[in-house]
Amino acid sequence: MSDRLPPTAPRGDDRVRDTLTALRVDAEGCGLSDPASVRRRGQARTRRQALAGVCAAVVVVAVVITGSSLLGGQADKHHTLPATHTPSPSAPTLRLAADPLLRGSDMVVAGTQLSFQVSPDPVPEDQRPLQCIPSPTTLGAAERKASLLFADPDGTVVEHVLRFADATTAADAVTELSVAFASCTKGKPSEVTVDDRGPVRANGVEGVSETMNAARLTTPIADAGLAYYELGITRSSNVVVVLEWSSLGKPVADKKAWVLSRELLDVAAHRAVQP
Amino acid sequence: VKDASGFDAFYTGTSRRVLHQMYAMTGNLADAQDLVQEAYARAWQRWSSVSTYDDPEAWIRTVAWRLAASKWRKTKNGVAAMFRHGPPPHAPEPSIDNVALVTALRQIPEAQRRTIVLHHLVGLSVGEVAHEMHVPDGTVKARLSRGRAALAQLLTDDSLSEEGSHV
Repeated sequence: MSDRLPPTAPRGDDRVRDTLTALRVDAEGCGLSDPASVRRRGQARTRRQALAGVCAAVVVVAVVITGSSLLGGQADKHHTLPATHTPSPSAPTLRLAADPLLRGSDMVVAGTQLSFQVSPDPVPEDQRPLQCIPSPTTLGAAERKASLLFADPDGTVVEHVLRFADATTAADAVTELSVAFASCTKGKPSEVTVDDRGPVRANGVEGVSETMNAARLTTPIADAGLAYYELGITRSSNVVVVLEWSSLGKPVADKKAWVLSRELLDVAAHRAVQP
Repeated sequence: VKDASGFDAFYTGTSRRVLHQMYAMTGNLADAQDLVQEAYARAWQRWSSVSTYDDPEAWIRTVAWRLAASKWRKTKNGVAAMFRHGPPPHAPEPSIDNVALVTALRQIPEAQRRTIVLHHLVGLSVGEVAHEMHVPDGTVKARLSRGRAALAQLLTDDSLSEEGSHV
């Protein structure tokens, strides 16, 4: 905290602060509503939300009823977990590549090459983008590597590459993550609107045993918090790559598209293992 | 029962400062004006909780930023502006002295702008900025470095990029 300065303290050697302080003249000349008007605006917003909440409740009831009938009465679960891919006993044991992590140049989102950089610092354990997902470092991997990539203006990707003793243990770790996502608490409906897509598993990439995507969109945001989170997992036998994307909003216009696309997961999977 | 007098005192004591900060973060005084008032309106909705926070002003600042980001996203997507209240009746413009600065701020990436304002204008440490933005310290340092360099170039003021000692 040694570099903390009180907001009003003069800071003669800080040219940036001096420059930005010049804007105060404009801000002081700008009209702001009186407190009573702001409170009325808040009250009006509460009334609108109450009305919208009634409409949303009707929709939720309809969805739950439909979902219950489709899932055979499993309406108490947020998502149906896809079937776990039981590894073959003869699944090969793979080793991590010398440099198993994604490069900034690998980050292609919706066909666009994004300007990502790899953070020089270790991935901070105390700043998990979605607290209800266990840290990949706690899944019992025999060997692990991690990095953080960030882009301007917004977008952060945390990558964990995990090597397990065998394919069965690795598959269990993938299941643990998907179960955790599926049971995440969504927050108060009155404060957030959540578009929560549960885990989806898929096969098809050569050399990859399974892939999984899950996404959580929270908008509009009333409280400080996450706006868009996406989890992408790929497992090649005993090696698992976990990618976590977080940003203020979804950077892809297509609501159905994954930011952590199949192609990107494929690149991550192939970078991770020794050829 | 919500404490109206407590909210009024909080609003009166902090709103002008937050407006200044949001103006620097957005580079748009009219936007900042509406974002700040919307953020305070939302604070009043849940004032019984917000008033107990260690730093309610940080909550206001973060909500205002989220609203700004949401508005930018929707604008980029071609969707109509989100605010029911529309633009302020008398949208303020920067003073002549600040036109160059506002123009420069608008040209640097949003995340760098926010990082610079939180560190240099709000006075938060690197760690506190990282906490407020939910990013690692290294990301903050990188954004500060690049943001100051970009600002210095745009304002042709080399001294702005020589602030490394504060990080």
